[in-house]
Order: sequence, then C-alpha cells, then structure tokens
Amino acid sequence: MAEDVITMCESEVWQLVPGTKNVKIFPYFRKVDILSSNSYIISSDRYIVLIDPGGLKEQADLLLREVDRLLLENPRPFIVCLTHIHIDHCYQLMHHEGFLKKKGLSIMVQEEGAISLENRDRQATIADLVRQELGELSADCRLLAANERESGQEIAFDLGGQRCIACYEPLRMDDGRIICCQTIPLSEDERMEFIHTPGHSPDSICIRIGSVFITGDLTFATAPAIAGITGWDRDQLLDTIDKVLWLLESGDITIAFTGHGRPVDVPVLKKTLKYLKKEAEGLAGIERVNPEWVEETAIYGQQLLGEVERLFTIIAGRLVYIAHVLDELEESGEADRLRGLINADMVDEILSDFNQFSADFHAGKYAHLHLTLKAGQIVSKLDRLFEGEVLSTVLDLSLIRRAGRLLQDYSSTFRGFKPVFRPEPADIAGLTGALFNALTVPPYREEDILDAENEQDFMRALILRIAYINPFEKTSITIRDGGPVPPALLDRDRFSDSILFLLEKTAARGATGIILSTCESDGTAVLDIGCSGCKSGLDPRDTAFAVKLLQLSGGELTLRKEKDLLTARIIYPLAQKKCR
Amino acid sequence: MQDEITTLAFSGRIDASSSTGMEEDLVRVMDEGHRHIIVDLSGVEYMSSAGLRVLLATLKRIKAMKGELRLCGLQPFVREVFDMTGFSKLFTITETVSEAENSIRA
Repeated sequence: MAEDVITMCESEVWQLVPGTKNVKIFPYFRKVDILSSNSYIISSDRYIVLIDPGGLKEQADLLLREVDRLLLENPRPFIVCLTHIHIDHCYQLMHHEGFLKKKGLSIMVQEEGAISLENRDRQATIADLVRQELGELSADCRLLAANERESGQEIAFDLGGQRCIACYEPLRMDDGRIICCQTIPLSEDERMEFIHTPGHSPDSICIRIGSVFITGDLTFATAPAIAGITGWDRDQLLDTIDKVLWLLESGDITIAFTGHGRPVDVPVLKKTLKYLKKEAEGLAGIERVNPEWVEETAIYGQQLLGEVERLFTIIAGRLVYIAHVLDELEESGEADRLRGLINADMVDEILSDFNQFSADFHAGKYAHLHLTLKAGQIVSKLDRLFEGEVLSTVLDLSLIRRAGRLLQDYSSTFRGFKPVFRPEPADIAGLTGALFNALTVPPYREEDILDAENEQDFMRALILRIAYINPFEKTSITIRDGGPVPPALLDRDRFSDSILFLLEKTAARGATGIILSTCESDGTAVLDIGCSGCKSGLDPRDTAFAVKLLQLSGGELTLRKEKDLLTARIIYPLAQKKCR
Repeated sequence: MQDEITTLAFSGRIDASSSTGMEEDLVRVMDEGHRHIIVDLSGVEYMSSAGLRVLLATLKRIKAMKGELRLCGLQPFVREVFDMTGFSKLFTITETVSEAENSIRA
C-alpha cells in the first residue's frame, strides 16, 4: 500500500494529497545535493502554499508558473512556508523577481528562523558556508513562537488580507514530553499542521497534511559537514527523533516527503530515524562546522586525495606489473586472479572525477564546502572498493596500511572528529633502525621458493618475490647513531608512514644517498634526514602534506634544500620532561 | 618505414578518461607498421594504472614486431610511479628524446 503511494508520487505532477479529500500537491523532487532543496506546492480551496522554494532559478521559474496558473484559475492567498531557513531552501525566495514582486505573498517561518532572516544571519542560513549572498526577507507569520507554543491558544495571521486563525495544539507524549504543534485550516475539512522539530537547526519544522509528512532536512541532520553547523543541536535532535517516531506510531502518516531526494514510506522513515538516533548519540563533541573548518577540511581532503591517488596508482600498477611477469611465466590463471584484486578502472574513474571537480573548484565553480563534500563522497567510494586484507596477501603491507589509514583519516575529519592519534613513549632510534631494515631487507627468503612443498606455497613465494619492489635500489641509505635519545612521545605507525612518504618523495627526485640520524637536542628527540643528489625539492603540495603527516604523528617537520641536498629535521617532544 | 623512429608526445594527466586517446595514437602508429617508437612523457604530470596498462600493451606488441620502445622525460610523479610499481624494470627509460633515439640506433 505504502509502496503504491510512493510510486504514485511523481515529480512535477499534480496529485491528491493522500489522506485528504480535496487538497492537491505538486512535488518538485531533486537529487540530493546542497544547491537546492525539494519544493512542494499545496493547493486547497483557501490557500496556495509553497513549501521551500529552493535554491535554483529554473526551479523557482517552474514553481512560479504553476502558482500563477492556479492564482489565475482561482485567486487565493499565496503563502510561502519554510521548513527551515537554510539557504538551499530559500535562496530564490530572497532573490527571484517573481517572489520579490509577488503581491499578497505571505511568508511563514518558525519564530527563530524569522528573527535570523530579519538579522540577515549568514551563519544561521549557512550562507557563510556556501558563500552565497543573502537578500532581505522578513516573515509575515512567525510559527511556533517560544512564548506561545505550549499554551494551546489561538493566533490570528493576516494572509493576503484574509484573517487566518492558527491554533496551538500541543501533544503530550506518554513520557510527558510535549510536542509543539500549530495548525491552520486549508479548507473546511482539511488542515496543515506545523510541528517544531529542532536539532538540524533551531527553526526546523515538519509539516503534516492529510497522511503526508514533510520532514524538511530532519533525515539529513547527522550527515557529515551538516552535523555541527551553526544552530545544530545534538540533544534537541535526539529529542525530536523520539517525538517524530512517536507521531509515526499513530498510523495516520503514510508517506514522508523529505527536504532532498525521493519520498519514503513510514517503515523506511522509522528505520532511518532509528539509525539517525544511533548516529547522533555517537556525535558528542564533534567539531563545529564553520567556514574555517570547511576550508581546512577541503584543503586537507585535496592533499590527502593527492596521496591516495599516488598510493592507489602504485597498488594497481604493481598488480599489473606482477600479473604481467606471471603472464610471461605462463601463469595466466594466477595473473588474472591478481588483476581482479582491485577494480583499477573504477578507482581510476573515481579519482579522475575528483580531479575534474578539483579543477572546477580552482576555477571558482565551487565553494570549499562542495569540495569537502565531494572528497567525502570519493573517499567513501574508494573505501568500498578497497579490500586491504586481500591486497596485503600480495603487496607490501605498508602501502596497504597507508592507503587504508588515509581513507580512515578523511572519514574521521569529515565526520567532525580528529584523526586517531595514539601517542606513546617510543625509542626514535629503534624505530628508525626498524624502518631502515624494512627498506633494505627484502620481505622474503631466497630459499622459500626452493623449499616450497606444494604448488600453492611455490606460487605464494614466487608472487612475494616478484611483488618486492625496492624504490631505493639506486639510493644508498645509511643510518648514523647520534647518541642515546630518551623516549619520545609519538604515534609509531604514523611515524613510519610519514618517514616513508618523505623518503619515497626524495628517491623520486633522484636522491642518491640518504642518511638517517637521531639525537637529542634541546629537550626534544630529533630525526635528521639528509638526502644528497636530489634534482629538485619537494613541491609545495608534497611539502604541505608531509608537514600534516608529521603533525599527525606528533612531530614537527622543517625542510631545507641547498643545491642538491635536501634535509628534513623532525622533532618530537620527549615522553618525560627532564628535571633540571 | 619499419626502421624509422616515430616519436609521440603526450601531456597532462593520463588517466581513465585520457588513456584511451593515448592508446588510439599508439595503436594507429603500430598499425601503420612503425616498430621503433619513442614515447615522450615530459609533458605528462600524472599517470594512472590505466596509462600504465596502455604502455605495457604497447611494449608487448612492439616486442612481437621485433621493434624498440623507449620512454623519455618522465616527470617526478610519473618517475615515482614507474619506480614504485616495478615498471622501470620493464621499460628502457631515457632523459631526453635524443638519448632515446641514440639508444634505439645503438
């Protein structure tokens, strides 16, 4: 039944509102993005109501054409109602000539949203995040006002010269909590109900007409880069989710029209809300999503995906190489198996897509927020394709670990948390020695192939041998003891990842000799890396990324380039400060 | 014509979308019978595994034609990818086009 209701909901087609006798709805569904929301025109005997005019001109043109046609057929008061004041829901209302010049138009917004609109609050409207201009807008009707909403009184609104009585009808839940509702009549028999649902923003409302529930952005309230924006409130959101779930239990609602994307039936909405609740519970202490956070995360995402691109290219390329050598050895079956370990074409396409988006961002087509969101989408796609465990049976573990960690780091950052940092006291000289061994000693024994007792062991040993690629073949690496160093405070895995990144970058610039030395200096543990024979220094992008990687390991990097000598000094705090 | 050296230069990013163009150029030249080819990558800033696969397929075909393939002018990122994937072991790589020509003629 519910499925039938959803199938019936065609975009840009007039249809009867389920659960009503004579109210019609014209939904305008869009794919989910932050450029514009869905819009809904409601037509009843008494009013035409446009819910969320959205952010795009072509959308507003179409909606206004429909409204004008209706007004011509049957002149009535025209109301624009916002589920909340985020700019993707109301940009056109502020800027489109059709709205600005419309006579008798009444705007209905929840009270806190109305105040923010009048103050042209760039944070509350998220105009600061999407870098859009705010226009002047003032609400004619302030819905669900704080000093009225629990009272049960009646308020008179003037809608295009007609008096409309809005009634407060608070609902009491079984546990005593109050759901604040306000209703206006749409006709003799039908009404429109506004329910205060703060959390996504303080002014968020849901709207019920017949058995249709219009949810605004409630179902997106825990999305990365949305959770944490100005006005977002986790406790209020949790309370709202409980309340909406309670309302859904009544059975009067059959379908939910969301702020973005296609409508959903009640079982799906309930499932979504329960998932949302679980997610919101885990979001205590997330970072505030403000323009600074957005810019920083966008830049980080770009740097990080540059490195992800390098690592994935190396992983996929190495599999191509191993498969090629196996083909030459007439082991085509095994070669094909290796080629199938990663969907290289898909990875390529995903990274190519990000690269194009990134170029468009630099050309000024997108704001930092778009780039942040795009990077999140790309990382999530790559994460689904990346099967670290399977790949690590064939390839260098450090490559796999680094790629996996980068994806995880962006996911954490995007989610509003700091990347995982596990500082512990560590012997920097010992760690450097271990790294040196890993770089200079192959991960296989010569005799493994000879000792193989069966075909499977033989193949495994053979692949391990082919897969071993030493990028430092033409570079002599030496380690120097600079005396005892007290334990430093650092994240061991991140330390190795960062140093490997630096060494690979210098080797790629033709370094012929690398000297690693550790010492204690000025109460810090120091690792000096001297690379001779470098044809060029690190480019700014690699330098910035190295600095970030080292920071995440707990250290601080200084790079210097003089002629063909590239030096890197990395310092870490000591685990225990010395008493003087 | 078989013993003439043909040089093809590519630029920008060689990835999922652009590697097809590179493949078409290389296949066309080989279809015309050219078997000594220099691929000048000095303008290529990035190469994905799709690009690597195209070069590998070219190498196989050139070998079957008993010809020579040289790559030259690899920029740091591309050089790094070749070194880190093992592709440096499969190809003869030179710094410049003239070095590549000399190496084929030697």
